[in-house]
Formats: sequence, structure tokens, C-alpha cells
Amino acid sequence: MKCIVYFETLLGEIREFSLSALEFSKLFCDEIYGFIVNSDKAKNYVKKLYVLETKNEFSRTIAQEIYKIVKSEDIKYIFFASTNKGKEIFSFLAGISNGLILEDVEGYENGYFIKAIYSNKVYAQYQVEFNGLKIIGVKPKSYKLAEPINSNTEIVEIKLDNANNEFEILEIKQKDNKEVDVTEADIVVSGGRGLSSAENYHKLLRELIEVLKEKTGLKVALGASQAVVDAGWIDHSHQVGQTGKTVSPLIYFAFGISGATQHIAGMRTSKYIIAVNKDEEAPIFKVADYGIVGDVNKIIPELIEKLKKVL
Amino acid sequence: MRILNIFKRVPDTYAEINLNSDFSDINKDGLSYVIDPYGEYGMETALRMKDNNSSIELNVLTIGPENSTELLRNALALGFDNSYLIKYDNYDKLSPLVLSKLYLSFIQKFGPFDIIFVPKVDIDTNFSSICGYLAGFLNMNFLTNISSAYLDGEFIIIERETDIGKEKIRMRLPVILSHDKAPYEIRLANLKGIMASKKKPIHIINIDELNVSLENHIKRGKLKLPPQRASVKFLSSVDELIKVLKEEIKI
Repeated sequence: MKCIVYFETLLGEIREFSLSALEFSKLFCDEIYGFIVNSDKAKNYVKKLYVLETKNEFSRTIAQEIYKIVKSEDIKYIFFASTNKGKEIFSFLAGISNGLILEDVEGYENGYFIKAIYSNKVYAQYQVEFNGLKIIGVKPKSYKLAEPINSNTEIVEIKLDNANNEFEILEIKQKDNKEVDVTEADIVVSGGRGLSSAENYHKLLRELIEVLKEKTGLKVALGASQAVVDAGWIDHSHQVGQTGKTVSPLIYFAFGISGATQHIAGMRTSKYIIAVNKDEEAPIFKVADYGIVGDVNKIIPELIEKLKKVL
Repeated sequence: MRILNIFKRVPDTYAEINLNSDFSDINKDGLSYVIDPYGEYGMETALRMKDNNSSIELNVLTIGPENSTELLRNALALGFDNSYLIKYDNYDKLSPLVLSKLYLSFIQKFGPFDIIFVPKVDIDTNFSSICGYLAGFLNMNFLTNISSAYLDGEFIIIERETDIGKEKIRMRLPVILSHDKAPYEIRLANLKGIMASKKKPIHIINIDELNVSLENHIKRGKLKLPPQRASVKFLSSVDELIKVLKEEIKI
């Protein structure tokens, strides 16, 4: 079976999530072609790599170029990392190809794809019965990463020099490079109303993040509950939960977060959940592995001081 | 200028979800239904466009059982001009491909529209492909996960969050956009709006009128709840927490 795996790049590097999609594709395909835009960094992973060189990295353009290969090579399956960018490209490709897209897949068992529904409150099995192009998006962090293979990769360059007057990027505000996104972090330090003020939220959590980074060398990100995002303490890109992001880090710290079902839906699959809250009846303790009942505004400074000395 | 907002009728987002006894579906007893949150943000962005230009015609569409008209009435009370219901009880079992074809057929019958807003994800099925499917079928400009948008002549200016920060984009109309959370609050209907809504139309469309095959190519099997997590172990001091981090989690 011939497949394409799309390698997504971010700031010039392959996103690790694409390597999970590649590993997942091996369950279905024996002939895997790669597709990447403006980079040859995926060449150690596939025998044949299509490289699109273009100044016009719009999802629509990328989808149209991939569709040409689908037709010329008689491709049956496409696999991609189920990121926002990936979903944008491939839902459009599904439209133009009359194909079928199944995104945010977390596993494959006995002929069924597994996917969370109802904002991660329920898991469902899906059986696909479709003769056309099948496009599968693999949820980040749900599958192991593919190893490089040693092969003489055939590189097929596609040069595209089309102007575009339909679509223009006016401005890109890049966030601080050192700031890790909550979806990519090993440790998420999240805060809620219990931190009392925006000032405390930023001061205490950011200091804790710096100490954890320095002491562990892991990727540590700042998270937030919906309540503090709505209160304007921090912007929406940090929000964890139903109207924010879904995270699965090694450790999720919930400081002063009561744990509404909407929040739990976004962090329940974390490996370890550590919650600090002054109310011992708070629902967050129903999902936490470890809990401390107390005032976060006293506990976080103590934790920072003690972490500096140990670890 | 005509705008179409599509929203999804979903269980109240604060509700706990349980399964029925044969695991074929969620237990719907006692669930109340609301307009999905991303649909609401799309509606607010459309209403803001109309605030600045009252000649804009706002249309709203959803699919669901007959009592979905209550939700459409809310939209009319907020300031929408026309509302449409595709009447179908089993709407939450339709695959995104079938759903997109139904919306496409609606748009072909009742369009054209200059802007179409859809939710960034249908929070019941967790599918986020409607925007891309429709853009592909219609060969239209599109963008997913937008935070806000405003009109600028024949163009629309859009802001959105990306994985590296924020983007501001200008696109030529017509466009189809999937809406994420917006940086502004959603308005509530006032008494005047509620009174006015009683005179506004709700068009009910039988699903057969749209001539779309309802055969799902993705068949949903059994459901299961996520595994229960072990119960919490309460720690009495920060020192104990540090011990856990070092010795159990081993960071």
C-alpha cells in the first residue's frame, strides 16, 4: 500500500509529532513517501521525499500540491500530525479530493481507530469503510516516534513560483522563543483563581518554571484555567481545557484550579497530576495523583526555595 | 453582503457525560442542549460586523431535532435576520463528510454567502474538518481557528493564534472561516431583541430536501469512558512533595 506522510516543520525543524504519524503509518503501508515544505530535514526517514519549494506556504497551496502526487502515484492513505496546521491542510485536501479525513486519532485496535469525543470526556471506536483517499491525523503525543532509517533517499523537488493576490499575511507576532507551548511541554505549571491576582500568577508561576527548567532540563510551560484567561490575566494560548488546549505532559501542576469538567477534559491524560488547592473538596483532587490542601500563595514560594536547594 | 453562521447543538459544556448501558451512545437523559461555544464566538464576530454596517444580512443554520428551534430563536434575539434548521434527530451520528455535504447543499440552495462561519471543532464529535471540506467543495478561500475578524472593503482582516504566536491576515471575500475563542465577550439578548425575534423567520428544512446520501463511511462503534485515575494521595508538606518529585516521578 502506498502512503504519504506529511512532515510538518516549525521554525525550520521537523515537528516531533510528525514522527509519531510516520510510525503510525507503518501499520498500514509498506511504501511510504514523505512530503515536506521548504526543507529536506525528513530525508533520513523515508525512501522518497517530495520537497515543495515555495514562498507561498498557504494550506490551500500545499493541499493542492499533495493532491497532484496522490493522483499521479495512486496514493491510498495520507498520515499527518493532528496539529492545527495539519488539520487545516488536510481537511481542505479531503474536500478537493472527495476523500475521507479522520483526525485526532489516538490508536488502532482490532480494525478500529480510537478517538476522543465530547471534548475528551468519552472515547469512541471508528470503523472506516471507504474506497477513496483516506487521510488520518495522529494526535500529538499519542504514538511513539519513528526512528531514522539509513537509505539513499530519492528527493523530488517541486518548485512553485505562483503569486497570490487572494491572501496576504499582514503581520506575524512571534512569541518569545524560549517560551514552550503547553502542548509540547514535559511539565505544565498551571494556575487558576486561587492565585488571587494576575501579579501573583505571573510572579510565582514563572519563577517556579525557571527553577524547574534549570534543575531538570525539561521543557516547562505556563498553563491557565479558563477563569483567569477570561479575567485577562493571560492570553488564550495558555488556556488548558475544553475551549483551550489539550495537554498530556509528564507532570501537570494545578495551582489554585478548582477543576471544572471543562478544565479536566484538557489535562486528564497527563502522566502525573499534582494539585494544590485550599478546598479539599475541590473536584481537581478527583483526578490528581498527589494533592496538598493549602494556600498556593504560600506553598509555591516554599516549593521554589526548596527546589533551589535540592533536585 | 450576506453572512452565514453554522453552529452545532451540543450538550451543555458543564455537563458530566455518562454512557448508556450497551455503550452505543451517551446517556442523554436530562441533558440540556446549547449552542456550541465556538459557534457562539463566530456569531459574535458576525454581529460585530453588523453593528458597523446594518445592511449586512445575518443568517444562521443548525441541524438537529425540531426543538433546536429554541436555539435558533436565541440567535434571532441577538440580531440574526434569518434562521434555518435542517431537521434530523440522529444528527450527532453523521460523519463530517455527510454533514459537510448537507451544508454544501444548503449553501447551493440558499446562498451565495460572502462569509461563512463554522465552529473550529464540533465539540460533540470532536471533528474539525467542516471548514476545510466546505472550502474544498466550493473552492473558496478559507482559514481555520480564527480569533477575530473585521471587514475592509472587498477584504476581510483576520487575526488568529498559531503555534509560534499570532498572525494577522487579509483575505479576499468570499471566505469560509472556522472560529476559535475570541478575545471579546459574547453579548446576551436584550428584551427588545427577544421581542423582535418573535417576528423573525425560522425555516425548517427536511433533510430529504437536500438530496444528500446519509451513508456514513466512518462507523462509530462502542464508546468507553476514560480510565478512572487512582485516588489522590494527600501530602502534608512541601517536603513530601519534593520527595515525590525526586523519588517517584524521578525528575
